[in-house]
Amino acid sequence: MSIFGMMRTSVSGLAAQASKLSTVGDNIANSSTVGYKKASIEFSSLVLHDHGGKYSPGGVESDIRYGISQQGALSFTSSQTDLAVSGEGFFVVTDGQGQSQLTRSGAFILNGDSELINASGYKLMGYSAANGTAQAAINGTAGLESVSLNGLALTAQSSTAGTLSANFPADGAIVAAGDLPSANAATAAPTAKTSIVVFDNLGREIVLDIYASKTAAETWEVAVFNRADAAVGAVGSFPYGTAGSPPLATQTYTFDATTGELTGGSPTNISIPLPNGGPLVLDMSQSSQLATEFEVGEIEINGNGPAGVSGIDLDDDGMLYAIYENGARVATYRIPLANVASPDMLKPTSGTLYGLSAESGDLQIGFPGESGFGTIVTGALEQSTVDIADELTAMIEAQRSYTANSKVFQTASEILDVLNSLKR
Amino acid sequence: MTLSSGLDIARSSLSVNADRASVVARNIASVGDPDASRKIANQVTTDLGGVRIASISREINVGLFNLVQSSTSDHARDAAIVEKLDLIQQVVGEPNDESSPAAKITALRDELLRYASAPNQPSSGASAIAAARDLAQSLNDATATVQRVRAQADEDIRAGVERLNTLLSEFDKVNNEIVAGTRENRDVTDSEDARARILTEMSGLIDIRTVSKGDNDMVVLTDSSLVLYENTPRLVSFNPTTFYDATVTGSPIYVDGMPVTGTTSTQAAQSGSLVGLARVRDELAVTTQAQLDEMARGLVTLFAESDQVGGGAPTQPGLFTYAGAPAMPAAGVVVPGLAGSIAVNASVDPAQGGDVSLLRDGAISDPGNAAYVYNTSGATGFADRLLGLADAFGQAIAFDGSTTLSTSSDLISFSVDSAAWLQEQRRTATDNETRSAAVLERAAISLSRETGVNLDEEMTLMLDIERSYQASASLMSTIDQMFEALLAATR
Repeated sequence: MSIFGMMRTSVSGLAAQASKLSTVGDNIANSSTVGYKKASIEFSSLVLHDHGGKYSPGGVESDIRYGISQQGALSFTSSQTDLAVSGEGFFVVTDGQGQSQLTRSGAFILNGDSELINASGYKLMGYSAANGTAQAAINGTAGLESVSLNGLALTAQSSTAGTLSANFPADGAIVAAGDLPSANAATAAPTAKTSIVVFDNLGREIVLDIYASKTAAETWEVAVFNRADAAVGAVGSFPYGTAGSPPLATQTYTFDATTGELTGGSPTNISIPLPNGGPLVLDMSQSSQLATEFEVGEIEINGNGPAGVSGIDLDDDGMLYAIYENGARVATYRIPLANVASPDMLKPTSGTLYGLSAESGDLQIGFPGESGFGTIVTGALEQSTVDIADELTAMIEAQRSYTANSKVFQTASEILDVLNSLKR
Repeated sequence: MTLSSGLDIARSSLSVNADRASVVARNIASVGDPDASRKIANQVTTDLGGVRIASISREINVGLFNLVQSSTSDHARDAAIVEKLDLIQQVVGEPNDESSPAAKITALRDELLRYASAPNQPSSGASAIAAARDLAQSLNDATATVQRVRAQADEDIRAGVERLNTLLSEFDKVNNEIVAGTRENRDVTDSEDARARILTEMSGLIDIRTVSKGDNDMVVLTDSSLVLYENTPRLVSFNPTTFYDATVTGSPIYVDGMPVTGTTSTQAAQSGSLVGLARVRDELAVTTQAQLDEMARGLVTLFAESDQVGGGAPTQPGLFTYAGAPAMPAAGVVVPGLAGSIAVNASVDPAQGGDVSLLRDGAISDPGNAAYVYNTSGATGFADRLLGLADAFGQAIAFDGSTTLSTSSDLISFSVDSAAWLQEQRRTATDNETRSAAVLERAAISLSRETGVNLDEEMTLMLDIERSYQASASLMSTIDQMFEALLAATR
């Protein structure tokens, strides 16, 4: 019994070491695959019950382990669409047929439909941010769609808010009522002027002329006109349109004589109706009235003209921005990460993908940076976790072990031979 | 994990060193360029070891750069003023110059005195008339030169405004490129150098100030806060005038619809060559012309002939006549352009068929009219008129205040003061120009020292990079040997 047992035991040993050699082979073959997690074999003993004095050899069982939760090294590339997860979490990708999968392989490029596909041909999925911040369905993939930059061309936004801060000269001369810019006469003599470029609903550029005139001590009138209405050919721009027609907007500001800032009762902004756009609310609360000449401090107006997409940018929190030719950044998608309770128990499938199994736990979806999820790094790829030196060492060990097991089999076979030749 | 990751790290080190070497090569290539700044490659470590280049930035010093801009503006303004004043001074002359109108006025008086000592000598009379003609000619020439300088300044302003508009549109292109590149995290340092160069050239034309916005965007304003560039360039406009005489006023320069030069400007520009040229055209040359016109008016008034017989005949211009004759110019008020039209009366000029003796006897304004004859006895030795004229050179005349000189002085003192005034203006302008040139040079040298490329530093850095590259390469070969040993064990 024990000789046959010895043969069976050595066969189980051979099978186990063969299994280990196969994992070594697979690992070495995938040592450069982006997002690959190495496979290994753990052995456990199989024990048979012994009968008083006579030893019954059992065997060895092998268990396949995948080091999926191990973080691979990041190598940086020059492509902005190469993504890598640093920490826990997986990209959610789809094959276009509706099935979503998890992967760590992030070498994405734009295909013909402007979707992001990785080296295995799977498309990245995310939540559309076109209508404000995206909401994640926490435990399912509902609501995810493939990220596509198609149809994002040519948006225009009207200017609606801005900041303009200026210093009004405290020692300026007071302008007579008939010469105020708001009277819109050819004799208008404003104290100072500045101009800003804003956009209407269709993305047309509108130049607004802003005139500041002192009407009384510590009181200033700001009048806004559309440059397009300026008088042509005359000296200076007044009158805008027909003489006496009102400006686009007027506002009176009063300053405090001791601090030089706007008084509590004074309005701090001016609302300008734009032709086919706006209204534009200009915040002038940082303006002052000090004894120096007219100076413009800060000019920041929102809004942009029509332009096409020129590139993409991914933020730390997973927000994918489309960058337009005129420099505007518009949030298009939010890329989530998926995680499971036990990533090591996921089932690897072809294409560097991982599928859910009974032991891995249910899917959780969250955004990069939240607790329990890692971050997405742009311009980097996650290298394979295989170390060739380790694998070669394991290979030597497995080979020696295999040889030893085969020696055991050979010995058992010779012993049986001896037994057989006892009776001819 | 160790040998393979060691190999990865060595690989990343090699590629980073290659990038750094290329940045050093760019710096060395731009060593002679005064507008190029030093580029620096910023290296950061990554997770799990390894390095990468995070960004490429340029060495800047904002304070020095602004100082270079403002001193460029000042120097350009002073240089423009000095150049034009030199041209004017060549004809108006210095106080001691024989060719100046001041010297010729004194010469005329001396000729009159000589004629008075020998009134019966026609040759003395002829030389007096010649001196008068010389004086009138020099006043005409001075006027023509002053107006020509004004026209030249106007033409220079036109060319400057055109250049400024071209620079603004170039600035637009470069600025848009910088903003787009910054948003996409590209290397925009070369474009930033180009933008700085454009700003420096613009500051030579008109004084500018910049305000930074988000994403490396920039707003360009004049010092008086008129917008030159904000998202789009604003128009700088100017109406050129081709022909100038004393009555023509030049148009102001408009930035964004508001005037920056001239009396109507509330947000006037203070420096830059355009401002210097406008100051010459509208102030200095106009004042010089007013002084010449007042000198001419003084001559006409001095040599006027009044009624001698009490018949109520009006005073008329005598030896010196002008375009408005026979009416006399109003007292104490400048007549623009008088110095350009002043001439010796044809009736007394022998070159035009006149009679020299009328200078001694009177009736130059109307030969044959007894009302204007001073020599009633008809004697050839009559010297009273001549002596009276010579005396009048020393009598006070009321002058217009717009000449900025004394409102009441005699003609000779006035003419000397005028030449002295111009010399003073020119001396002040030259002093200012020398001083602003020195400031500009110092500022430019400091800026270059702070932000420019230093060949020695770059070569030292190159050695450092080379050693680093060698170390990484030997690390790679060591790891390779370790792999070899391992593979040998499996044979």
